Amino acid sequence: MKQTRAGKIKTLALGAALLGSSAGAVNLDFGVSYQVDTGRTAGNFWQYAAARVGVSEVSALGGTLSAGVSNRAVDLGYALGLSLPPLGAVSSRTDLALTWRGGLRLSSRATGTAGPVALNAGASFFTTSATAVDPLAAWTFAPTDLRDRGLAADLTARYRVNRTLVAVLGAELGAQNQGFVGLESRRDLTRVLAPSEGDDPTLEPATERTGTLTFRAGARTGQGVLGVTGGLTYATEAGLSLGLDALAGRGQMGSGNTGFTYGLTASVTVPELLGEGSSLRLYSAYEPWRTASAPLRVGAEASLPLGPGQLSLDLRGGRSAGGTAGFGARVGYRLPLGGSGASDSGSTPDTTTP
Amino acid sequence: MKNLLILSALTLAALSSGAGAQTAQDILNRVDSAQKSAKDVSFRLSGTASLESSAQKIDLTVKSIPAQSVARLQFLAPDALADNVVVADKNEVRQYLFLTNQITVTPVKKAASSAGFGGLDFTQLSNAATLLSQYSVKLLGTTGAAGSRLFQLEATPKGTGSTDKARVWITEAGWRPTRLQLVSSGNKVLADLTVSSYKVNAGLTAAGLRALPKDAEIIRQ
Repeated sequence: MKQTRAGKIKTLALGAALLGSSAGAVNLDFGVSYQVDTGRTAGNFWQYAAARVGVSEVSALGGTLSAGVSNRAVDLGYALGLSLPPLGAVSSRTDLALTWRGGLRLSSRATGTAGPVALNAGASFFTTSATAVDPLAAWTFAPTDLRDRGLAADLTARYRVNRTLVAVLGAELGAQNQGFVGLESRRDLTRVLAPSEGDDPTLEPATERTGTLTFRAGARTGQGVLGVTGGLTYATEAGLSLGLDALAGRGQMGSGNTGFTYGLTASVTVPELLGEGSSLRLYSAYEPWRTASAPLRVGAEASLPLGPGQLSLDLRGGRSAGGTAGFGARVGYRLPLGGSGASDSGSTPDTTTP
Repeated sequence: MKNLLILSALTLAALSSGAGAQTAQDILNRVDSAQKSAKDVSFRLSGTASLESSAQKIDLTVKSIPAQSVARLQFLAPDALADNVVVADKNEVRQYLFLTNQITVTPVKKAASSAGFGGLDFTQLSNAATLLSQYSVKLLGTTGAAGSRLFQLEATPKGTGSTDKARVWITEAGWRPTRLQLVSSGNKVLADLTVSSYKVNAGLTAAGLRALPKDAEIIRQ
């Protein structure tokens, strides 16, 4: 008996060692979510809930793999990147989800930055809705295409005209074809450092960044929308970030009719509020002009270290174009298995591009 | 850009590598011993470099804590790279891209094998002995009066087939580099940079060197 136990422990230790050494920082992910809405028809509990277990950051095929299984779907993701400091970087990510009911969602995104130019391109194909995989997908900060099936693509190009000015050009194709242009001015809020002895006085003095202020102005036009846009972001070195964006013009109104419409999105991110290594984000978005997404979306997302891993809590809600209101909650836990990548020295939480 | 990095590396190398005054090795040893007492080193590199044939203004700051193998490069010019930051330590290379507000995180193993630094191991920025062992260094000339002499050194990479040379000016006052040049095989000056704001023991912390904007999106590679 004792021997068996010792054997088991050895096997476990070997397994852990193998995971830790060969695979680097592999994470085990657990998540449960549940949603309620006023449009609910009778159904069993699991129609409104999701429980998922998965792994992420598995080094394989020159990139990293993630995979998971839930009561709704199985999913697989593959990310590949190349960093060429200080010039730039390229990265790509492809995700596939197959629902148990036979639906498929495939999406791919590639981003590349080289000197003054950055490109971000994405495409997706789906035969089932986003909420069929994730019950809270409708109320994310970034608008989610809620169609049941379709194709979508988007492209954004950024060009750095000079140190403080960036020109943005982009298009969204799919449910509501549209294009947008804009200018972004990003200023570092700096403080001048005391010069040291013997410095060349003709050089501009060295500075230290205390925060950034970004202004955005542009226009958006396409199917069912024509408007001007503006926004600003304030971010401090400590990690506090405030963002506000607005659109005003002609498009679908909250009532569903076309006329003068507006959109407002706001978010605030506060680090360390819930303890060291934690992050809290609050957001709200009101975009009645978007015809394929929930017009009202609000949420609170928190992430904090707990034991050996990271706990995440998301509360999201909103109103659909059809007028039904709903909200949901998600609790997740990410447990790193060996490696150093997950127990990061920096406290910056990982975020994903909307 | 690769050349530029070699220059920055060489500066640190010159700061922290190994020898009495009249041979190249002597000079490097002096620099080494002057630097050994330094817990941290920081300086600014500014001048011009020929990138893709046209000359561009280059301005960057380099900060390093050699004992902890942490180095930070922050660009002020050219505009296309301004505000970009590269931080390297024993484990990973982090790159902050201003244009997209993203941070790429690359394990050192992967970074060393990628082409970004043209074969230069960026993390060796603060391990100059290793770095300089890849170069043959000779003394080209000496100017100035005793006590404030300026030595001009020339470093040629060993066994790479490359005939590009790096020239480093070292001042006797403080035994530190004051100017760097990268010269092509055709004796064309590819980069000419001066070293300023040179500081040692400024109380830099590893956490300070590693600091990157917290609102940036992180991409692990």
